[in-house]
Amino acid sequence: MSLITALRISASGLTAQRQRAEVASTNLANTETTRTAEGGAFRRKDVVFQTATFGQTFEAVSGGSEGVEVSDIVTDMRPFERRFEPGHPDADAEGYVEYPNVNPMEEMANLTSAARSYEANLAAMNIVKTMISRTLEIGR
Amino acid sequence: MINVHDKMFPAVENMLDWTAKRQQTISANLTNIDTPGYKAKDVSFAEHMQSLGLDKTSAAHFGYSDTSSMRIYEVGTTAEKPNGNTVDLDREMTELSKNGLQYIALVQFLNQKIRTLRSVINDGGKV
Repeated sequence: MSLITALRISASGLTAQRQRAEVASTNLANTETTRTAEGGAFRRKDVVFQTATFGQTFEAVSGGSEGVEVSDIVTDMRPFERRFEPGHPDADAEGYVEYPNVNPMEEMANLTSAARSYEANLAAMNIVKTMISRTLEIGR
Repeated sequence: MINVHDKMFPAVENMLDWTAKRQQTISANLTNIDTPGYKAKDVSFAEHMQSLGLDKTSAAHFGYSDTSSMRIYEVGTTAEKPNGNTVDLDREMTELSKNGLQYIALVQFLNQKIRTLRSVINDGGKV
């Protein structure tokens, strides 16, 4: 039933946007982290979205219908921010400390965008739910 | 004249099917609003109706048939984002509401039709 597939597609969007918000939160939480398991300062993470096909359920129409999934979580290789803090235990010989390459402004914009996209998927889901319940009432 | 085998039933059924498939496509567009390179899609209507084996009394009327002639096409848009994505949030939200309401209207129409038939069956013989 195509309406159930529509719900599954929206659900995949909710999952992907939630993961994106989680990654943005991780970045925001680690804006000042200078020590990580890999060594050195924290590197900003980013999600990569790709389409996920639910083709077989949309057999009558060519092209299929696509949900979304997080294909990869990549590490941002932009240079670290260097601050002059000679008293810091992680300072190098010249007195500079490498701080994460996270820009809080960028992460906030990312979070807001993820929240809006999440809401759009929820709105679609609610309308589809109404459509399904009306379908069940045909002939009553 | 009212007929249990009214041609209206398969026609409405077909419209419901098309509307449901379209809802699926709109949901997919909204879901892929942040996917790089994704192109917004829609399900054709006019072409679908033209291709149906029509059984109609006027050239202006719609007919009915199977739904295998539905076709997905890419929505032409000028709002392509730098990452190649063409989903327009405002368009999709508008179509989402319109399509949902159209579905509910069709269901109500169908219910009314069934009520009329039931009334004829139950009360037709009474004096």
